[in-house]
Amino acid sequence: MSEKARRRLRVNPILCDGYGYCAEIVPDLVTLDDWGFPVLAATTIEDGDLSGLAERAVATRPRLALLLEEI
Amino acid sequence: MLLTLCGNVTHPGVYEVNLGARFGDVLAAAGGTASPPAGALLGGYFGSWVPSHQLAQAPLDPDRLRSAMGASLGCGVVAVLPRDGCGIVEATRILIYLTAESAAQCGPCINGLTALSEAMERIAASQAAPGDLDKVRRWAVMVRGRGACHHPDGAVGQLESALAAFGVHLPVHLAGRACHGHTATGFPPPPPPGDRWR
Repeated sequence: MSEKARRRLRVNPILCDGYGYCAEIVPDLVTLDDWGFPVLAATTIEDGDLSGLAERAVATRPRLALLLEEI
Repeated sequence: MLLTLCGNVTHPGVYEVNLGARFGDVLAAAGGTASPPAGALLGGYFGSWVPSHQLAQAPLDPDRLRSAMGASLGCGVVAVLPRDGCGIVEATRILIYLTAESAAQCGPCINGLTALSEAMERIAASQAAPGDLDKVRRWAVMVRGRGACHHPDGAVGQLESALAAFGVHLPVHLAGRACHGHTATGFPPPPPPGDRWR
């Protein structure tokens, strides 16, 4: 497959402990609520800068609560 | 459909009503109310508050009720508020109960419902801090849809419907004036909060 599938970020709210690394790494896709828990933008991630940053955010997740899913 | 009537109702109980019946007619069939209703909570604790002026005409049909006043019948329980009752006070009591009943698994529910309860407790007690109501409206939007389950969605839905239905009464609370709804009887109080879930 030459073309990469479109993806989006998802959070598992039970696992998430609000470390907030994701919002530091990719603030265009993740902001934090008043208590430090992630609010994900509904943006679809195409190839490009954002895609790389989203992958880094997922790789950095301390509680394995963030994932990239294909849509 | 089956409808459970409680609160300010002469003969509370379970009634079989025709789909699409007007709530006023059902209330009359239940012997009416002890005092003119100040509103009602339709659909139980995850339901919606309907103000008194819309109550009699409320159609007991899920689709029509939703399109007419954005409410739903949920579990079919309707609790009628007595004349001296306050929807803000009762909605806050329910919110506090639902906050204590959270499974406490997700950050937005644990933090959000707790913060909402604390701010609403101040508002209901007419001791609101500046900006409390703005925070409540913002947090209600912030919390919605972000739990693993829909417990927080139902809890904030009940609250938002109360703020809409009793919006004309809110200035009394925000101005720090006493509200007699605290001492009103006749609306079923939530059970005392137990230990946290499990």
